[in-house]
Order: sequence, then C-alpha cells, then structure tokens
Amino acid sequence: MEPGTRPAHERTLVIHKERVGNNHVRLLLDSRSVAPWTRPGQFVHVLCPSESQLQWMAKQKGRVLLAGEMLAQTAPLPLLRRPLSVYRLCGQQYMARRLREQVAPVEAPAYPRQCNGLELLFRVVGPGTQALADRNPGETVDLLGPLGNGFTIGPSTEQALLVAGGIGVAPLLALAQELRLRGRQVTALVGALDSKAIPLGVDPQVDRSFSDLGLEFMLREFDQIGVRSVLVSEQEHGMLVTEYLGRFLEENRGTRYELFACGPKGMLAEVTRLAGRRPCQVLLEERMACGVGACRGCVVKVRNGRKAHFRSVCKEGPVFRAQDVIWDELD
Amino acid sequence: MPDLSVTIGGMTMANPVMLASGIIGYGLDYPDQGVLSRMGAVVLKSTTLQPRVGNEPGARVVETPAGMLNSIGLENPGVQELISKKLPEARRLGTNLVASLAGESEEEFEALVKILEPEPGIAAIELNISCPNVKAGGMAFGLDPQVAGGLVRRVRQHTRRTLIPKLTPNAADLPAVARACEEAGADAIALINTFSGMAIDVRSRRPKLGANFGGLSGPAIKPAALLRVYQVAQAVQVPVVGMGGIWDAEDALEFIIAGASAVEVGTAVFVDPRRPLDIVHGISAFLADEKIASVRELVGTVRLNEAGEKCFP
Repeated sequence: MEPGTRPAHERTLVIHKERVGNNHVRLLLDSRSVAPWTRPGQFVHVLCPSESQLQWMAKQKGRVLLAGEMLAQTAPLPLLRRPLSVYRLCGQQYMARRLREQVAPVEAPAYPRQCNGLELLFRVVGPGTQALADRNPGETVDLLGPLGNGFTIGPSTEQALLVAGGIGVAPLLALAQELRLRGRQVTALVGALDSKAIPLGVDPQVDRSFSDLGLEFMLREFDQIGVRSVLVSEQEHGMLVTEYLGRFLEENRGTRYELFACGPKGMLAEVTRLAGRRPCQVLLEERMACGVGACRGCVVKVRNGRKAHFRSVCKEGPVFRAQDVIWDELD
Repeated sequence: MPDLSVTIGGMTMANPVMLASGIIGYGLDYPDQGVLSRMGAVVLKSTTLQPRVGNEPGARVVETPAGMLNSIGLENPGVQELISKKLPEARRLGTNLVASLAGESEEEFEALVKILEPEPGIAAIELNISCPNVKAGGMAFGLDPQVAGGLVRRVRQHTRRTLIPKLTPNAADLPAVARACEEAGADAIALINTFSGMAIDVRSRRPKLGANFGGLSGPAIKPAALLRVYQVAQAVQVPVVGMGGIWDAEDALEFIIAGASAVEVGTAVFVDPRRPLDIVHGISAFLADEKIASVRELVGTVRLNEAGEKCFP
C-alpha cells in the first residue's frame, strides 16, 4: 500500500519549541512517516502525557513484572489523544512531493531544510495540552496521522479569503502556504481578543490602503509567505472579525472570493451567512476518541440534498462545505 | 512457546485477546491492519436491523479521569449494509469475526440472528444487551435475569453459532443475569459493557455529553470490572470473556486469573492502536516466565486470601 493512504503511527522528535502569544505553544516536529503526506486542513492525533511517562510506557511494552516488583499503572494520563491541526509543513519529502505535483516549492523561511517538518500551534487549555507544552527539543511526541480530509484546493481563479478566530488561525497558515505555492492571491482576516493574545507575530500595518481600523496590525507569519493579513482585535478595535468581514466583502463587491474559515462555531456560522453563495470551506473541531472514523464520537449534522446526515469530523471532515453544515443545531 | 489458544464455544482463537465492539468499527478504519489479523478475534460494531444515525451531536465523547464517557447511540449502517459491504471487507482481516447484534425488541434480535445465519465468515455472535445509550432495547435486556434469559432462549433456536451475550455492570444482580443466560443456552458470557455515568460543566451547569448520560470505560473502571468478572466466573460453567479498562498484559492476566477464558480490549486501542498486540506478547512472556504451558491453565486460578474470607464472606 502506498504510504499516506492509511494513517501512520509515529514517535516524532521535537526540533524546536517556542511559547508564543498568550499561553500558546509552537512545536516543530521531525516526522518521517506523517509530515510528507500531510495536506493543509488535516490533523494529527497526539498522545499528550509527559516525556517521562511515555518513556516509562515504552519500557513496559510487552514486559512482565518480576516477582515483588511494584504494580504499575502504565496507561497514559490524560488518556485520550488530542486532535491538533497542522500549522505548517516543510522539509525534503514534502518539497519533493510538491515538485512531483509540479507546484513550485516555496517555503516559509524559518525551517531547517534537513528535517521533515510538521509544526503544531496550540493553546494550552488543560492537562493534555499542558503536558505537550512541557516538551523540549530532543524529546518525542507520539502522533497518529495525517487524519481527515484537508481543504479542497481547486484550480479556482477566485482570490482566497481566509477568516480565523483565535487559535483557529493555526490550520489556515498551512493552507495559506499551499495556496501561495499554487500562485493564488490570499488575504487573511484574523480575529482575536486582543493583539497580545494572538499566537503570531504582530507588526504595524504597512499597506494602509487596505483597511480602516485606525490602529492597524498585520501578522508576520502571513506576511512572510506573501499573504496580506489584518488582525481584528475585539479589545483594540471593538469589533469582531465577522463584522470586519461583512464590511470587507461589501467594500470589495467587485472581487470574487473563495472563503476558508476556522474558529469558534458561532463565528463560523456567521462567516457562512456572510459568504452567501460564495464558495466557502470551514474547518470544524469536535471532541474525539479514535480520530479515524471508527467510534462515531465526533459527528456533526450536515445537509446532503434535502436530508440531514451525521458526518464524523475526524474522517469525513474536518473540512466541510460551509453551506452544508447545519449550524443552528451546533452548540 | 506457551500455548495461547483458547476455545469459546465453537470458536477457536489463536490467542485470548479480542478487540471489543465499537472501537474499530468494522476494522476498515483501523490504522494498523497487521494488528487485527493477529488478534484472537475482532468484535464488529453493534449492528441493528435498520440503519441508526445514533444520538444527536453535541459531545458524544468526553474524557474523564483515566477514562471516557461515550454516548454514541449505536450509530450503524444496519444489517443489510453489514452483509453487503462491511463483512466482505472484514473477512479479509483473516481472523475470527464476531458479529455484535443490538435490537430494540426480542423480535429484532431474532430477525438479526436469522438474517445472519446463512452468512459465512462469522465465528460467533455477541448479543449486545448492555448498551446504556439507547432509549429502547439496549441495557434494558441485560438488567433482569428473566428478560435476559428469555431473549437468549429465543435467539438460541435460530442459530448454531457460538452465542455470547454481553452483560451490563449496571444490573443489580449480575451473576443471576449470567446464570439465566447460561441456562437459556448461551455458549459464553461477555462482560462488562460500560458503567452508566455523567459529567457536568460547572459553568453552564449542563452535562458535558450531548445526551446527558453515557457509558464509562477505560482504566478507571478496571477494578470494578475485574470484580464482576470474578463473580460471574464463579456463578457459571460456560467460558467468560472479560473486559473493562484493560491497558496492558498485566491487566489482561488479572482478568484471566479472575476467571476469564479470553479478554477484550477497547478504549486502550483509541490511545495506542498496537496495545492488543503488546498484550498478546506480554501474556506469552508471562507464561514462559512462570513455566505455564497453556494460558488455559491460568484461567480462574485466583487464590483468595484466607484472612479476607473471614472478614468478607
């Protein structure tokens, strides 16, 4: 079977860790089996427990306790894996695949070239993400992936408009990377509570023609790959990113946009409304157990013609056509 | 090499480790197919007569300390798709397949068994009379000895296959339910399904599960599961298939020593797809170390403390 057709299970090496923004962490992993086959919008299912616990577990594998030895609870805590979006991709195999697909390889600058880089960006929200945030370079992260369907990137001529809410920005960076590789024009609107809470580099806006927020910021990681970006901060601008999106679409009525969005469900519902009949893909999050479509734990209600179906976020998502999602029934 | 093979009714397995129902669907989504072919048996996702969409979205799974709550609600494509699509692919796994059946009524269980009877490649039938997450049927069949026994007796008439009712720990008198199933013709008893449970978000004061209540699984329930497997093994003559929170070989060995002839692994597989294989290797290593020729010799060999028997008769 060709690699990448079934998710791989891999213990990857942490190459780089950085605490960013307010309680966010960026982890760059060297992943031989997962990274080269990962597409934007796909995710990895991550085992969170501490490095020392994982090492202990590995040591216990298949081992028999000797007489008199202390009983060991070797199950990891927290138990379940955490689904995390892939933030950025880089590295030899990834680039080689790009070349085969005749897509010009252009990389974000910060990457070491010799690894198969898969970068995660996540917010620390509980014991699982905390344990993961405590990893240091040289330690390992156990991954299952790549999982789910990524964004569908067709040969569209529309400009790409990315809309993110908070940590929902993470998978949109990988998407922006890919769209740029394919020569698409990309604009990113990123919503945050305030400019300090955002896990990306925030710079003063250079291109003033572009927005009228008064206090204007752009985001370094988007800028680096040639993507125009606007940070919309609730604190500083008194505005939600969706309000800004409404104005933006109004002002640029002449331009045809394809929308891609990730963030809280309420925000995504509003983006869907504003998108109207424009093509719009949304990346959904849900609590998961298996991550591979088997347990049916992460379903959302999706329209298919006139009928509603439950679709698993992990396998049939996490990217859905926005207009197909039945938003009013999601919490 | 110690002998790991065991026989449950008419089903002979290369080793006593099975994959529990509802964990890997029909096997097709499992990341590591090589593991499946080396299992003693694989129990497929519970199948109903008609397709079921399962419980409404909202969280269907929630992590709890050393465990998880689920309320999937028996989502499955129905028995016809099981036969036309799922079974042909699952047969390629090259191991014993156990069909898990769930009905809302005795008639439905009966119909399911009849429909599957001519289908090849099913080594045994697990009767799911223990699902805590459905309105009709499910656990209701497993709470009362008479009801459980009546159901087993009824489906027994329609199948020659190995019949294994899977019991719920939520029953008031689990050994009595097990005995009733045995008397009605069950070839083995599987236990436990999940414990009914709940988790609440204190800010919204709403249950964390969309369905409000669900079933608890994972390492958190292992000691409680082990006691119930011990009690049922004491109560019946037929083989017992033990499960509940098994993570490693030591857990599996505890169940075997408590009286289980085979074990099923469930929640642990979500965390590490290679767990079941590791458990097989660990059991083998243990038997070699203890110089025990066959795993069958270990079944039910727990030695209770004499002192304990005085204080807890």
